[in-house]
Amino acid sequence: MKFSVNKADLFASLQKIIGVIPTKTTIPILSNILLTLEDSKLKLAATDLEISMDTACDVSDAEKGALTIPARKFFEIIRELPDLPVTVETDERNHVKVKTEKGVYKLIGESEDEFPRIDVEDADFEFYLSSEKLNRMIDKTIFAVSTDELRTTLMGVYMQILANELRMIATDGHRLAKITHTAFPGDEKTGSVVLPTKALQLVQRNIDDEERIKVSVGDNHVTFTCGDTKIYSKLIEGQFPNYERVIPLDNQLKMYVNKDLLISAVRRVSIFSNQYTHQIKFALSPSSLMIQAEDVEVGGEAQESLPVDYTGDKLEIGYNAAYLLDILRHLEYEEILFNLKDATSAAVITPSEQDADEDLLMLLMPIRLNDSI
Amino acid sequence: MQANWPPNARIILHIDMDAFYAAVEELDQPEYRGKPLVVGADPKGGHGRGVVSTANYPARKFGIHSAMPISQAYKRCPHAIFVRGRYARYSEISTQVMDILKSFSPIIQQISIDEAFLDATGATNLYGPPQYIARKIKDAIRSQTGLTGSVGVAANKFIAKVASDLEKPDGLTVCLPGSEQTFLAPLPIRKLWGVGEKTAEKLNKLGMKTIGDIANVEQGHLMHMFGKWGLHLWQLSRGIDSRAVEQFTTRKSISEETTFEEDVMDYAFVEKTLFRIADRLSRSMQRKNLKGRTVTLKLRWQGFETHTRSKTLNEYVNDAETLRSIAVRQFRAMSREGRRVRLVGIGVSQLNTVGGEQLSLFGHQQSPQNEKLESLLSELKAKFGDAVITRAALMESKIRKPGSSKNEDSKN
Repeated sequence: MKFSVNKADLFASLQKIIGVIPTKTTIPILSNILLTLEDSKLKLAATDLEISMDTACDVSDAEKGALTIPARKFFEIIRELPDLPVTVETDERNHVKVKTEKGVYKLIGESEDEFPRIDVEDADFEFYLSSEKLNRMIDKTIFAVSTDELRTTLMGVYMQILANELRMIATDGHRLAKITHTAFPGDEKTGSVVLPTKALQLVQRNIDDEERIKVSVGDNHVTFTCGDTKIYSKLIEGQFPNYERVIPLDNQLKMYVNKDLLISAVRRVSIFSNQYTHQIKFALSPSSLMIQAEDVEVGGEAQESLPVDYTGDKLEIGYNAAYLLDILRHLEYEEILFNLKDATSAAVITPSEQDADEDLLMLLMPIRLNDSI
Repeated sequence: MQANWPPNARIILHIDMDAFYAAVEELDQPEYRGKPLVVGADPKGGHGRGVVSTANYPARKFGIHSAMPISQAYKRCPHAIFVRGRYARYSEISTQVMDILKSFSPIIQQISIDEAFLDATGATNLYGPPQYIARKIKDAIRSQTGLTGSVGVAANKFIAKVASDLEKPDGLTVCLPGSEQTFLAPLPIRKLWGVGEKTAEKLNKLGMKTIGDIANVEQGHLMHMFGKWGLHLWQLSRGIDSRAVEQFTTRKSISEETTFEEDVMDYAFVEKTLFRIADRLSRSMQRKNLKGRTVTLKLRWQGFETHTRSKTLNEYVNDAETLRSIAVRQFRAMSREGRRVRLVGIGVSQLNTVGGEQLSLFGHQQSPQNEKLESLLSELKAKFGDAVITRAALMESKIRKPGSSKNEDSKN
């Protein structure tokens, strides 16, 4: 195999694919990238057995061939090269020579036969989304996934493909994020899958703007295709909990608040909360929200109040400030709305006005206040 | 007055009751006195499981010591008297002892059921010089409880603790401020706090056998080997310890464990036992209003090799379900290779009593039903004992009530 390529082009492809390479693995071949050259197109492939990625890059002076090459080392040397043409040559012993006018770098590759083939079954159905929409939907949900290995389905983002709606939902049991794409041109085929976070992070990082993305869903796999780049991922097995059941419909108390004011107040007050529980207290009264925190163990306390649009009775609710800030940071709206019921029920947090083609909703469960029991 | 105590030095006493559990048994059963006596698990003619809690001094002459397998203790001295612990009684006497200590100084830090530090810096006007205070404490304990304790007197906690151990039983050892280094120098390094078997081995290999050897090493050398802890070690070896006697120590961990009647190969059975231990531990934590962030599985294999595995969570928990599932996962993650299990236990550390409970949207963890169920279970068991109600998963298994033990430690 032999080819010439611009450093920048090759590096761009490597940068995409390096994210798949597992950082720790007991199977050494997974630390390699599979390079396949045919018709002036260099294909790059990597897998961790759960997630695989293919991408490609145009090259010149090509002689066909295939082999695998240590990903990290190849990535690093290409990254460090100046922006010059690079020539890559391999021999029958799978030794790889990377040449520029600056010097020569030799790596030891391995036969392509060693590289695992990932079988992906045919998709049951597929649909298209703009990369902007897909990235937005991932961004609004992925922060809320669980890291609890005991509940694997919560470690991914749930995607529901409905006739006229596409929904993505994530929850760790304490908070929940849900985004609905309401202008979704679906068809009769509906279904739901749990997508691993690593795959979604790869999609976020590697799928370029302005492009249409094809999403193909099978029994065990999902594939995201964007030009030459394909990301295949196994789905997370198991039943995602019935999230609709926990979205309260009878929260009558409404608090409208300026989001930036709220974020900065919570950030300041939460400095005084317990470092593990991050517990803060919302004390609501008509037109005013008082935010309080105190750390009984270490000492110190804080309180701050800000104007809100609230007409209900007095109410005190405890929240984990870190969870609350996570949610607020993912609502890029000037004014947001808290729908509340009481001190032990979930808050429904939404923009005060939704965008035209979507519905965005966050849930946050309170911390039970000691003195309120 | 004896040798002078510098006026600005602290006066710290460490009081350690002698063979406490065994001594209480001898007190209550005069016929045991002077005979080898072992408090702990049932030896069952040498086939018993579990370990020795305390051996009295005659039994120690046979080489029996705490934490030794009961079968081995039996082998060493089959004619010893073996009794099961009566912890409620020990705790009653412990309270008496602590009350006596409190009458000498309000600044007291109880380390365990039979051990405490006392800061008597302000008590010299009332009771005289430190040596007299120590003597008066010993006399008071003896006359009011009939038991003996050993007392160490020094200017800091570490030296006081070392001193109380030197002339056990019924000892009284004083280390005058300023003479700490000479006092410590000849002692073996194992007397240093935090030096266990493995560290001792490491230090021995480097030619350090006594505390004096460590004190003579350059400080940087130890820091290089052991990091920040090396500096701490070096300071201790020179008798430097500025920690205060903390009146309100927080409990550091809570645990429950079970030794099997026979070493167990049936891992499903081990997991069921973990279920039960988690239940018991959870109940005990709820009673004490404690939650913890770090859950530790303890496992002892046949042959006494012991392993622990911990997981630290992002939240404080005390529900049986979470404790169980973490412990079971950790058990499954251990390389087991068909080995038999002798003991399992679950511990929870990083405890917290403050802060409310993070409520959950769904799931078994803190659902209202489950919470009610848990508290109902706890209530029933508290009222009628463990046997009154149990989880279905535990029912078909013929779990005999094995030698179980509770550990609640608040050691530094």
